[in-house]
Amino acid sequence: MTTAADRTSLPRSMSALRLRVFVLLRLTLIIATSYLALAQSDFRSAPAPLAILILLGLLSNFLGPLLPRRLLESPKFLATVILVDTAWITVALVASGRVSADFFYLYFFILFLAAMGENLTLIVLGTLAVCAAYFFILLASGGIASLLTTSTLIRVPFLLSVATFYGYLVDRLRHERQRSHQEAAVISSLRENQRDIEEVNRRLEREIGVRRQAEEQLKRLSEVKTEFVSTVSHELRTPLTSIKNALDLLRPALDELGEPQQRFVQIAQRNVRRLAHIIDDLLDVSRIEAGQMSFSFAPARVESVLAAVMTSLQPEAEKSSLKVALQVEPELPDIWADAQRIEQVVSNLLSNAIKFTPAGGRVTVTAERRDDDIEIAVADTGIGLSDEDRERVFEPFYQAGDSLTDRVKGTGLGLAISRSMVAAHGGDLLVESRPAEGSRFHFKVPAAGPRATEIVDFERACREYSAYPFFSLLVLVPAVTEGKDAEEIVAVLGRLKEQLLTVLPRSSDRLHMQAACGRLLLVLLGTDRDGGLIVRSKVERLLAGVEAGGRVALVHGPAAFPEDGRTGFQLIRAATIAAGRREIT
Amino acid sequence: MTAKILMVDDEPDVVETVRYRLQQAGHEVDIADNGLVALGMVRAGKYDLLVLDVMLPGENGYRVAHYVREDERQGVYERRLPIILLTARDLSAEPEREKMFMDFSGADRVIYKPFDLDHLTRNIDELLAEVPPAG
Repeated sequence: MTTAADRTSLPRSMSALRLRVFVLLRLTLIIATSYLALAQSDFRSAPAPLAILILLGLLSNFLGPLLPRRLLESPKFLATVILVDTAWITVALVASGRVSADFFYLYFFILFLAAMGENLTLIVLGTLAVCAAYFFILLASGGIASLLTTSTLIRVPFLLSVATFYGYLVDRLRHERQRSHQEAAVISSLRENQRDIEEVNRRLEREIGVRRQAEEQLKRLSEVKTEFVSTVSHELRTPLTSIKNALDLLRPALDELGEPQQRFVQIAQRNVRRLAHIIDDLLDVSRIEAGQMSFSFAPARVESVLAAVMTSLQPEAEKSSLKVALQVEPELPDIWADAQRIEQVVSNLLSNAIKFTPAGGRVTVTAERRDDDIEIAVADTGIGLSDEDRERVFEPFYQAGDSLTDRVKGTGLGLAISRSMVAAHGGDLLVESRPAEGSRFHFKVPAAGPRATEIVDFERACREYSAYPFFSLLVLVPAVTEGKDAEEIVAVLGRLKEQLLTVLPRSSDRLHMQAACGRLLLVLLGTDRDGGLIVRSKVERLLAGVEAGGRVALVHGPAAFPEDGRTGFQLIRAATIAAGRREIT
Repeated sequence: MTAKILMVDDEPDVVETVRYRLQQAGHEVDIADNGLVALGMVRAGKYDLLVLDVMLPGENGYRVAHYVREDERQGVYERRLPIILLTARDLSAEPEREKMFMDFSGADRVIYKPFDLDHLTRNIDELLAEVPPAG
């Protein structure tokens, strides 16, 4: 992986190198020019231009660091420098006035070699060859003595050093060119990477868009479904009204009819009632599914709720020759409930019990205290439930028992509705049963108090979440909850909440945070399992540095509830167990 | 106690059965099958009670009741007309909306379909007892 620092440091090192070459060149020029001046037999007779050149060289050296970077980075910079320096050294040679023509030609020949040459070794070898040829010519023309003159001995090393220097420069240039090619390649591959990343980002954004759309469509679909059920139900009720009214008006005339005809009218009446009941149940189910069923919670007296149900169902019980008893523990605290709904639930359970208990049996309705809850139970000595029935009895439209037996049937929705209503109170409708021995349906309703309000509020919030096809629920169990009092826990949760807001999308309307039952609950709407996992790892990383730390568990749902029967409270319970902590009681 | 009742519903079968029952109880019953006609009849005739279906063609029952109450505020009638709404849209599970609609319409009672005819006559008797019939 290439970091941004690598990308910027490459050109910087290149301009530094160029500056170094420039300075070196200056130094060499000064040395060379000084050498030419010193090579004069009499130093004082050295011509003035040479002195000026040396002075200029020294001055130009100070210029180096002042050169703008843009100039250094220009590709023509070194070429220009070489040209200027060639002119410079040539002027210096001419100015020294002691250069014989042959040396001058040799000098240019070497410059030519250097300009053509591709690397240092070749140039140096070429220069050596030229020098050897020069020696050979001198030897041939003037004998060994001519080789040993000062000027010759000085000229050869000078030529060699010039050649080496140019070779070095050419070599550096080549390297630099290669390097800038590589650099360009790296930069272009980086750009490509960036384009890839951008492409991936765009694709992800598109996907998110598609998913949001799907989510909205599902939401709209469920709204349409609810609207449809609602409309159909209302349309059904109008003709039902006419039938019911007509039958009601027939009642005074029943005596005039024969025995079988009277029975037929009764059948019609009974089935009108049943149809009306089915429509009511259907509407209830669609309301619960859409989260439209509203509950008005208030403290309620258990005795009065249960007594009302007993009174309304007493006639039916008597008709079936059953003993129905109500046992309420004395001095029960009030429950925090929508009394009408709890009445509906108990009424449902009781009428089921009456329906499925043979004559002479017993049905008992009880209310007892269980810690901070009140447990309400309806037990009968009826036909009971098989193992399979017990599993499925809460499913909508499931009819228990043998379909061949001539039993009065309900809509198959009563228990499903009851369970949802109990769930809205933070409880769970459960059943214990054995075939032929009887059944006992029971549920807990919180006693009125702050805890009950908290549970119920969370359930209400969860019903709103259920409108989203995807959501993740994170349950955070602080590490310090054991053995601390409620106020302290609330303070810890408050601190955690604040800290979480620093790592989580603050502005998001899709994040709901709620402290309940000593836990911090984070609901991420529109977030599926993958998104939930990412957030969880973020939260876990944050918690690692927090004293009150604790554990996080994730529950996710593609509209997991209430369709699959699970309630918000059950989700928290599952997540809490997953977090390795004591179950919420 | 007999009274002059205006029944507004566009379902002939419902109207027929209700009218029969109300006449049995000794009431005089007039019929309208839409809201505007009903409003005209309320303004013209002196009725003791209005039985009003909600889902009517044109102006719905809530609005018809609302207009009647508006007229009353303008002093068009000598006294307040008791109104019973009939509707198949059972809003008892959504108390906020129910309250909103009832507040808007200004109706005295709402009865959900399907209803018991006896339940309807009981409600009528109660309302009539509160406001004695004219004349």
